[in-house]
Amino acid sequence: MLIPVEAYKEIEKIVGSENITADEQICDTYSQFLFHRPDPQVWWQRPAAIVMPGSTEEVAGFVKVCNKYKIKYKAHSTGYGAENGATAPDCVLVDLRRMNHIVQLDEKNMIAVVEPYVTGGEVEYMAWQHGLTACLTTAGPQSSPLASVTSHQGGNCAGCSMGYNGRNMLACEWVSPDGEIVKVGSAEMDEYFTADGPGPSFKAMIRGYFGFDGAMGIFTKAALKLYHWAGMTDYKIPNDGNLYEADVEIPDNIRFYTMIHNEWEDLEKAYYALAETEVCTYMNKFSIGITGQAYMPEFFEQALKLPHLREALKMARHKTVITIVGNSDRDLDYKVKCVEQIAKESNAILIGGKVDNPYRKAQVASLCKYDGYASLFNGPGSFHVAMGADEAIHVNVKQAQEAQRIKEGMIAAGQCEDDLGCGAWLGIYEQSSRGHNEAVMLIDPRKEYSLSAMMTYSIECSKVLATQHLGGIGFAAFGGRETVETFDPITSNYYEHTLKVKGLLDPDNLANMTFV
Amino acid sequence: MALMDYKVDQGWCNRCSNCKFIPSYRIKHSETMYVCPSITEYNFHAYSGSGKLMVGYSINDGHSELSESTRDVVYRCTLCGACDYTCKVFRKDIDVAENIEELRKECVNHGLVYPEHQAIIDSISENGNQLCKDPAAKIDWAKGLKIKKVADGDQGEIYLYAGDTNNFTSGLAKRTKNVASLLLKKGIDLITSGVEEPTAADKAFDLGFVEAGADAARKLAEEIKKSGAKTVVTMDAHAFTAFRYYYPRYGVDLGVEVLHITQLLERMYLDGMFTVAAAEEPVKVTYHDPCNLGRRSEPFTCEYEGDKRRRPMELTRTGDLGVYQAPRTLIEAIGNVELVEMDRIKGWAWCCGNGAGVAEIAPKLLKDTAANRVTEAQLTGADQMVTACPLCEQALNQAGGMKTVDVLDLVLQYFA
Amino acid sequence: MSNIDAYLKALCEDTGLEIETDAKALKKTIAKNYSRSEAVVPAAVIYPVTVEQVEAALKAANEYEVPVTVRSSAGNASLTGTSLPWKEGSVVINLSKMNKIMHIDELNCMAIVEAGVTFEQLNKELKKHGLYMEHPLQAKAEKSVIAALLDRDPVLTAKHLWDVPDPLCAMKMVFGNGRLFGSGSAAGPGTLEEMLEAGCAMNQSQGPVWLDLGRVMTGAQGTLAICCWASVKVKKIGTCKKMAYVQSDDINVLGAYASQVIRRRLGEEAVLLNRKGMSRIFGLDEKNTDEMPKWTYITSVRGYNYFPEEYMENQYADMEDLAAAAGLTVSAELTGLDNEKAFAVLAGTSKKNDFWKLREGNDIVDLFCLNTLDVVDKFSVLAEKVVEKCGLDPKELIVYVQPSQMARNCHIEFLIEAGDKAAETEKLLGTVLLDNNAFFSRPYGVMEEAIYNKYKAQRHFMPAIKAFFDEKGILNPGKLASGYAGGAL
Repeated sequence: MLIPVEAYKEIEKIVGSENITADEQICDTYSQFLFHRPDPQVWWQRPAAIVMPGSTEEVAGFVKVCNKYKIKYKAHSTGYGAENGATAPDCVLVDLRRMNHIVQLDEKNMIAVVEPYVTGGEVEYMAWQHGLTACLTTAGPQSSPLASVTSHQGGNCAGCSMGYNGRNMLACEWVSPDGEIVKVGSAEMDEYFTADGPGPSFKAMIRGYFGFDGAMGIFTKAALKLYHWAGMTDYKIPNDGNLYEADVEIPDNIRFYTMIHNEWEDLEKAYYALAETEVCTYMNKFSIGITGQAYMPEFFEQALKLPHLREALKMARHKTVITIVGNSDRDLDYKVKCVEQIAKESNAILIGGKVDNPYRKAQVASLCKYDGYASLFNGPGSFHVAMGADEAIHVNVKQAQEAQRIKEGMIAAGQCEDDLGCGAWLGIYEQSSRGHNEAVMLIDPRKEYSLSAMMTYSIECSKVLATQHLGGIGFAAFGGRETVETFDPITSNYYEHTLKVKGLLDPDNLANMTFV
Repeated sequence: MALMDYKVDQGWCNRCSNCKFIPSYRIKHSETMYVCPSITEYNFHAYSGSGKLMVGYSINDGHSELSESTRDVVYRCTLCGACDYTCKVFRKDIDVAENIEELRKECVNHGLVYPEHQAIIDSISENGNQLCKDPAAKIDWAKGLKIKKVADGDQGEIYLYAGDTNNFTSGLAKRTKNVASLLLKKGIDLITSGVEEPTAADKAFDLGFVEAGADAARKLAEEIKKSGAKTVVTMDAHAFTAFRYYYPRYGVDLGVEVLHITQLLERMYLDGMFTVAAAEEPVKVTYHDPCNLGRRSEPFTCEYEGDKRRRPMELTRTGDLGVYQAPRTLIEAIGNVELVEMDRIKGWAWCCGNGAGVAEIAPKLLKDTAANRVTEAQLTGADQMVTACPLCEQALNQAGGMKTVDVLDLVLQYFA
Repeated sequence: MSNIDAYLKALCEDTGLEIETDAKALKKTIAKNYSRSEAVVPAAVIYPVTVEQVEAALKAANEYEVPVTVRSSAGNASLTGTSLPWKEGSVVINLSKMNKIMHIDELNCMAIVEAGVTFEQLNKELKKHGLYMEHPLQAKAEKSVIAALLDRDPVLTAKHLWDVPDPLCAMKMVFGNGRLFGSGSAAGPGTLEEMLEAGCAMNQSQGPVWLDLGRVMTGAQGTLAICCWASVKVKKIGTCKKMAYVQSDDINVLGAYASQVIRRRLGEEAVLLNRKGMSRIFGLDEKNTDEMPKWTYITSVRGYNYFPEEYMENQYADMEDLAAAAGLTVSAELTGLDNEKAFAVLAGTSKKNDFWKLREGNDIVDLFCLNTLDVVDKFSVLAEKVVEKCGLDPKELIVYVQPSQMARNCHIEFLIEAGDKAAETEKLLGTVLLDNNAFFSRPYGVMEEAIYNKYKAQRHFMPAIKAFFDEKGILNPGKLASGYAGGAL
């Protein structure tokens, strides 16, 4: 065992023998992550042990033992992705699966307080019963909204109407790196309506922007912001099949559109107008090359071999899906009119409207809870996010154009999979001119060149951000040491400051950060 | 197929955790959103469908070795197939349940076998049953019925397979007899082996002893062939999965149409062969889908050796082709009986816990899993639970809290 | 040579900063202290005009261990005392001469302003671009935009206040330890000029990467860092507008209605006021307010570029439908109040020397806290009882409720002119509210210690926050002292 036997016994006493293991094979199931990382390794560090506390008190007791013996630890909720993997051989991984309660759902004030293992699907279902909805992450309904709002950076198709995940947390309960139970903001009085103060915002210190992915104490409760929802209170699915086959009944006040632009300039114009009119509940630009390869690989592989068909597909590369929800008949009419007008003004092809065919039904149902996104992370046909920094819509468009230029070069040189070049996953946020862009690349982990293309693409894209001043570091931060060295001196020494924050709150660095 | 053949499936699992929950669009309550009994009981990721894929990958990649720990993980699982179903809601390139079967085979090949399970296999070859019972204890349910027997050299249209549980349990044997009697009364040309009935050996397959299973299966196939039947109707849901999935997968061709008893009764009912009485008092029932009548029983098509992302849907076992409607048709046919559904039904049903060797080595898993199902049934406000598998019936009744009956009991009570 | 002399000498030589050391002038800087905390005359006031000068001033302050108090607004009035020095031998860094509006971006609806830019100044300029700045209720015309927003003063449009620190975005700041830092878009890479040239709107408030230090320093009362310039979100004025008033004697009903309206993103600026509040802020005659229901919800509706009239009328009609469902009525007019004036109050700043909270010669009690709309009733009843107990007329109590963060919480402010009973009333009211779970996001004055005693966790970590920005403790010593006095890490 890589941790002291006495420590193991003390932890065992806190959580119970059935909730701790150092079995190598069980630990191995917490260390395989091929996805969401630019380096082509399957095996992450195998944790020394897995511990499963069942309450905040047990979490605190565990962290205190870690401090006593200087044992490294890392926590995760539903555990999707390498971000929360162990980072040292003597690291104990905390699986928060046993903490799975919705503590409170406050309809009047639009707040849900949840424990780490509450899933997005569960929160969304409960919220819908009250005419509310939650800002879920595109990781899907089986993943933890607490993890998303407390510890990770991510966009989502609801960002236009619900904002970034990290801006969706109110007060929280947190076990500090020294094992104290800390009630942040109004949580001190068991109310969760605000996170900041009294005085400076400690919440901002421990949450930060991207989130520390389990390396900054352990969040045990978080208040999620809920939003008004005039859509269905439940899915009505007359048949038994999966969501793609299901004849989901979508109410008439929900409309779904696909808006296709041929030129970036037109897309940009449309996005500014969509932001101004605040009509979208969900919206995002998808890469037809990547989603197509994921869902229809047989068709795409053949189509890409035929130059004329490939060109035809490229014409639809800039595909934005839009879902609108009318809060009243007049609100719906207005939103429909706006979408149609914006499409007209921006030379778009607009398809859709009433959600009355299987494609639109599946799309809307899938967007509501991000069902089906798991399909996009499926090995060959999976993808890598290279860069993207949130800034003005037209800066995000510039980022996307640059990323497309780089990738087209790589495709022409046979250095990466052909996904038609444009991989921008682009959207507007908070009904404003702030955009979010992810430069996405199709990968096939079975192919050596495709794997090494991930890092090349990350580095090349980050150079563009650095030299052309296109809005910040964004996802380039996950490009490894090289990008840290590139960006730290020219970006307010963010890395040095981050280490200082860590050093003040977790002086022994027991919870290791993953990507640095 | 061998464990190594699943390395791609194992490697492409992205740990999304869909295998742990019912599809989000089916969620109705926090208590009923979980779908996997094993991880619900033991919590560590290894116990989930994804975790077992990763255990397989670890072994295949030489990162860890097959061990008693592997055995403990892979056998503390009811092999209910819920993980496979929920994964395939979104993916078609991972056969989660097949990976568990391969891990079990690997354990068997390396002698990592629980004595309780070995005893079952020994009983199949020595006693001709998988219940470790003295063959002499088999109940001759056919006695007194005017029913054709294979041993008598008879030939019939439909071979009625009772299954070990029905053959060795007095109440169930009696029910089998009554069902056979009803069928005979309706002019069905039944043939059976009675006390000579070979075991279906479904447990051998579930436990990873596929050779022992195939040996036994061949004996049963031979018996059915002798009967001249064109159809085999099984009273035992576990045998149903064996006949439709394991047998063809391991090269045993029964050469006949396979039906579960509820399917035959449904056909007869829809053909107008029954008059159905109404219950005296209004009664609410809920129906528990047995895994082996439902998702696990989806017929085997082929070993797909190509890139599974390109596998045609018709060759992908999603679980949707299990039998879900037949028992419901029978229940709904009875007047004054209202069927109220639980949250977790059909392909996304919660298991009763009584499967794949769990009863022998992890009684608490069985007990907790069954209790979980009874709690869910109680949420519906039903007066009783109905199922269509003798092992489910046993497990759910042992959990207490609500009476569980077999749909055949209702048929015998109301169908004439 | 004393520290302060050496400090000033070093600054003069190195930077050419404008420095005020005239005793009479210095005395004047604390002449309008409306707080109940004692200020001391500073040893000097320095007026930087560049980021580099602020950086140099703080670096030198660290070197010579000179306490520094920062003030962003011109003038010398202070309601809370945070911009006045409390420690002998302090230097005041006055940012009022850093008052350039650096950039206005019509496309992205952003403005970049230096720390000394006032609401009046910014709005005047924005108007030329068809824009306006959403600001706190009748913000002081001469108040620094950045200072108000850093203090989490709530702006009037709850639907645009997605999260703290909206509408404040990127910030260029100098930590107490003298290090320069950019928060959000201001982090770079690249200079502000390079980023603007590339088309950036500087509209990202968070980052870079793991950091969100701009948000950390909100509510810190100048004790962590000095913000030199920042970007703020601004809004389009629109092409048409309309007022809507909904009244009720029952704040529970009206508060719930406000929540339903705001969550649907209906209306723009919106406030809830009691009768006295209506009279003070909107200038209604007491005879009008006496006759009207106890509470008024006032909101504006605007139309923009796409189908403006239709949008505006739809919003209004949706509000009417919701009101009908709640047994309320929406009116387009209010007796005794001219709509143009009402609109100007919501969308504009106070007139110079006519700030609604501050009337010369009066000692006021001004307490504000955060909670949810459903507790306003309880808090108001408690507040009325307290002021009555203190011998004041409850009818004179202004209650101002500002829904925030899409109505998930609200700012509740109680203000009364209390004369010689001010200190007693403030203490009692603050204690009663604190005991009833009022959340004081910005603790001031007599309540500070009691608040930090209650919020032990926050207090536990405040030394770490302070150490990160200002390890020598030179910034605003004495402010938030009860917080920073909590245990050390």
